[in-house]
Amino acid sequence: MHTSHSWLRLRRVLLGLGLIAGLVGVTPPLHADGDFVINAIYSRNVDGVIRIDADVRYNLTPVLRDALHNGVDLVIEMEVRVERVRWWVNEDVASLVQRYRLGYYSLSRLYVVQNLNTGVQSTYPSLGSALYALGAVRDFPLMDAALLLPGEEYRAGMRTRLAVDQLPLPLRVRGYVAREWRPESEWYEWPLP
Amino acid sequence: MAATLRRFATGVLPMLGLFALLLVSLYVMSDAAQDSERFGRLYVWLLLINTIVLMVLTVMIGVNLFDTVRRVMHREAGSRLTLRLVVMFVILSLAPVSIVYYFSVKFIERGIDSWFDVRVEGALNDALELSRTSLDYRLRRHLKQVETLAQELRYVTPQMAPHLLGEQRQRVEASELTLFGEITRIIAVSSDDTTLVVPQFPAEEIVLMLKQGQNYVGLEPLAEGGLRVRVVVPVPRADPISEQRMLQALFGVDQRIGRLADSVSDAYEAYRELAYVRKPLIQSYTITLSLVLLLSVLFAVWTAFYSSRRLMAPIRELAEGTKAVAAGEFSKKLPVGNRDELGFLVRSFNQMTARLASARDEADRSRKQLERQRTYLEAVLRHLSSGVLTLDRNLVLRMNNAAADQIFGFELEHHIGRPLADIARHFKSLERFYDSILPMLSGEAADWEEQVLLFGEAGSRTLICRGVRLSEQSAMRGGHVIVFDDVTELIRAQRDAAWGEVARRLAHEIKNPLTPIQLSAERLQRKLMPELDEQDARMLARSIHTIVQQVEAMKAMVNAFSDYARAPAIELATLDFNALIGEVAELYRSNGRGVRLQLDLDASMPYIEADVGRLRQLLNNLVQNALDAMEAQGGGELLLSTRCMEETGCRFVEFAATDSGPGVRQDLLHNLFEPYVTGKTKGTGLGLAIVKKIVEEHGGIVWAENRLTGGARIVIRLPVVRMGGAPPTDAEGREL
Repeated sequence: MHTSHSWLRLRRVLLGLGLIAGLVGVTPPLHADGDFVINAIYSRNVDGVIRIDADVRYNLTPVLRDALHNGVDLVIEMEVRVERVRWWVNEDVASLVQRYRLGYYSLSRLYVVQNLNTGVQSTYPSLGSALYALGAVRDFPLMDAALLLPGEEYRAGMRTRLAVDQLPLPLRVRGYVAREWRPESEWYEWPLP
Repeated sequence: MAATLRRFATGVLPMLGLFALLLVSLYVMSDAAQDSERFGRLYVWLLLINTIVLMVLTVMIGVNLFDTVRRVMHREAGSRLTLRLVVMFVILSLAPVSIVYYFSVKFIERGIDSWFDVRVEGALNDALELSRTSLDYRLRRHLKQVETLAQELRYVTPQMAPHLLGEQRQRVEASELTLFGEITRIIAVSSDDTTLVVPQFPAEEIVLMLKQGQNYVGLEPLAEGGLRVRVVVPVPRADPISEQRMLQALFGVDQRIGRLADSVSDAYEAYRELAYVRKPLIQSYTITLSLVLLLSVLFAVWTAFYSSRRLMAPIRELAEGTKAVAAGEFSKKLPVGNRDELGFLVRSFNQMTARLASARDEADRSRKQLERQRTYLEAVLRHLSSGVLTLDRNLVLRMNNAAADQIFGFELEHHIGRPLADIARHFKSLERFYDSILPMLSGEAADWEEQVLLFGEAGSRTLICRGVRLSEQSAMRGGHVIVFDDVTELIRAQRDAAWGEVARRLAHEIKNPLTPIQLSAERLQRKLMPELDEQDARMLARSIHTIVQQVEAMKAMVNAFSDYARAPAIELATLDFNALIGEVAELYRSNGRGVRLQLDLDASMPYIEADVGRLRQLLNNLVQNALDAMEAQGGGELLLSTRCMEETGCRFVEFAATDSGPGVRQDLLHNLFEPYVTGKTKGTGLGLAIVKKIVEEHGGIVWAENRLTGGARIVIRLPVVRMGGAPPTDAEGREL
């Protein structure tokens, strides 16, 4: 009787430990200030073109803010890839990279965001609104829906990161070495379509 | 693996390749550090590659260092010098390079710092401020204009708006006018760009600002260059319930002013950026410089290892060669390298070893020659029938030969190095010899001759000694060489020959008158007998009888003499000695004198070549002699034995007659075999003399000796016939 009671108590303790371990394993790591986080992505088929809306939270580390205000342009890369799921190795179907340049225009103290792929440029009175605009991806045409074969399973993934190789040379070494100079998001994956 | 690494680490080609690679990459890197477009992208990779290559270099140097230290620990030749050279090279290269490095870093810091000037910075700030001020006026003017326009649009209907906007745009010379409703719904647009489909939306933040009742005016840069003024103002509501509208106006800025402002702004930003990256720039230059320093130092270290090894190689070989020479190995030849002083040294070393080797060979040759001569001399001495002794100046025995051993009856060789006086005390045979020659040895004469009489177990012997004193200059330095011959036999032979002559003459001279004497006496008896009376006749008969008897006796004696002196040619035939002995022994088996006859015959006896009749006589004489000797004591034992023996390459058979009689008197022992030497009361006194004669006729030797247990022993040695000789015959010469 006594033995079975102890056994129950032990089992409870083990269960608790297991739960804690499970929580630690499952919970995504808390992102430090300065990392990029993809909050949500929605994809839809509009007239035969897969378009996505994405909400990305860009947070610049103090060193990057400092660099920005000292005239260093930051290039942010948004990488999207589409894979066909197979039982062995997934097949790449499409991938694209969207680059944005974020700069500070000191004459009128405005933040400038330029889409390097299209050349479209817009200005923002504060860094927050510039980053917000950068993070609000709307109606982004991803690919032709005809490329997705019916009956197949597809997965798309996206991540954003600071393009370290676009930093001025003296800063680049730091970019490769120090994490605070190289913010990036995790891969965010979702099924297509 | 380790060997490959070492070969790689010590080879000059991989090193040069590595060095060239590093040099190129450093050049590219220094170019890249200036933010050149060419190599800018490679910079980080170059940094990585260089670091790896430098690590490889470090490992190679580590291998070299380990190798050198290991050599030093093992005390290998030249390793210490190598280490010292390396240390010296490293110090020599490190000092100037470090100084250059230190000042270069300083110069880079100062040089880059000198790009930045407070006045330049101030001027740039001022220029920016000036631009702002000059543009501010324009902005304010535009703002006022747009506010006025907004007032005008207070009551406009959406249908009327496009027309009014177009009129207003032309009035204020705006490039675009847009009236927005709630949630940035476009109510009307007027633009000078007729292709425009969607107007430029204001940022959400501006919309928020407007909602809080603020106006927005901003100078925006254009992607294609130039500037644009954006003014966004709220349109006053027509009534409290109507929607909040806003008016956005975009004005182009005069191209010239726009370019100027852009230029000021660009210069300012470039300057700010440069100032900002100053520290990282210095760092990257320093890194490049440090890599150059490291490369130089490491290469210098490696060169130190390499060159010291190259330099030390001949010295190490020389050291090893010297060690080999010290160990007596003269055949070592060192490879001759270049023609410098070290090469000269190596050549001299090779010459030296060659000369040493030839000198050693020469010494070897003469030593061998000496050895040969010594061996030859020894062989000569050994085969010399004369005894030879050499003494040094202190009369210490230095050398002897086998003949000397035989003459003295013991092995002198074991006593070499001892004074002769010392040896003589222990050996009786030598004592007499020493005493006899001592006066000559201590005398002044350079050479001398002396006859020495020795007494030994086998009787007296006569030696003829000749001595020579060696000169002080010779190797022996005042020593003596003594040569002596045993002439006993020679003297004996001379005596025997004299006796033979005497016997022959006696026989001849005495035998002739004996017959007339006998005949005359018989005639006297015959003539006188009838005329004499009985008494006289008896006396005469007695006298005549005595004369005849004595003459007969004399005749017998003379016959014996003539037998001894006669030397008939012997008839040699191959015979079985053992069989002959057996035959003779049978005759005496029942001698009736109480003597037991025993035979001990060696079955492996070879045949001998001898005259059967003479040998039979010999055996008869010996056996008769032994029986006579034992007669006095009324019996005894006689052993006849044969033995096959080999002595110095010459094969002999030995026959011995051993009796248990009283033995031979000492005074007779040495001339027992001479005629008329006898211990007996009867007999001719020629028995043993004839035995000796027969033995010598057969080329053998005979001697007599007294046994320690009593009795005498007479030994005969006869040479053996060659193998494969004629078949043996029996005692009568019949073929078997």
